[in-house]
Amino acid sequence: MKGICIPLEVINGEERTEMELKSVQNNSTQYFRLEPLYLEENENDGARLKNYINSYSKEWELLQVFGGETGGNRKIYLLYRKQMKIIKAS
Amino acid sequence: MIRTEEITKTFINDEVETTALTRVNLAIDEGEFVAIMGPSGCGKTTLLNILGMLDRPTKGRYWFDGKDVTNMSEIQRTKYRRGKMGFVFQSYNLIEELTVYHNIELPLLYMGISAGERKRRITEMLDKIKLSHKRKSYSRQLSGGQQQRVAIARAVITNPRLILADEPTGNLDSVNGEEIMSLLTDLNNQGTTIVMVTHSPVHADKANRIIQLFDGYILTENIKKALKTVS
Repeated sequence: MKGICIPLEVINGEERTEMELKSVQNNSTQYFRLEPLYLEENENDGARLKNYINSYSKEWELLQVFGGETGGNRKIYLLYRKQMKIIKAS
Repeated sequence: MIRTEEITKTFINDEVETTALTRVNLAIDEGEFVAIMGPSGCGKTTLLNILGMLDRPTKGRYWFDGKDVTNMSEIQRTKYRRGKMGFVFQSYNLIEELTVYHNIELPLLYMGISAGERKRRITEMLDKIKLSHKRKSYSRQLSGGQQQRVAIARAVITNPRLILADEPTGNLDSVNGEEIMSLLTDLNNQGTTIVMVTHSPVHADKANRIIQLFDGYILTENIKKALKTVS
């Protein structure tokens, strides 16, 4: 199995949500973060969103954008994954 | 191989104008594997259709192999993309009335390839996609994964330099999805350029570059893949 879907209860959708995923067998951990962002109807050029993403901590890689239909006031969610360094066991 | 400059696409339905793409600038080199991601309705398929010359931009320009193909007529576009581009769709788009063998044969017939050469290529391809035993089957007799393998075989039988895949694993379970990704990765390793629309970050990770589209514009481009393992 290469992918799983976890139904998460995000309490009010206003806050950052972080997930720590541990694989016991591989002794590895992945970190995910879900950032909510509110877009207004007149923000059609994406300038604020691009700026938000570009200035986001480089430790985190944007994985996926979840958003409603185009246009209008809406909340979107940005799913990030922490950039990992490979550490070989000695 | 591919270069777009300020591509915009608008659709007008019932006097309502909808912008599907806004000023998209994109360059894709030969041999790249590019994944396009983004929420539903963000313009992914519209962009793929324009890159595949199935549609034309409302504004902006598109160069393929250094040639400006923006304003080609439909007939010119059909001739131009033949043998250069292969298409893979989420819903396979196989012809139900034809067998596996004859579905794969179709693009070769359009290109006027001789009967002997067609047979040689199809036999080799069926072996490659491990469906030699299904050569006489019809698409309804195949699983989803098998149908998509046939669709990929049909797309690559003319040895195109570019494969455009629109959610090729969208209708498949994880095992069959992995098989399809493995086929696409093999093709890319052999030098075929691949542009793939996907909703799956796992499958996008197979690409060299991930483009995030949002509301019709390019939000980000990750050229370097993430390092994935930690201990």
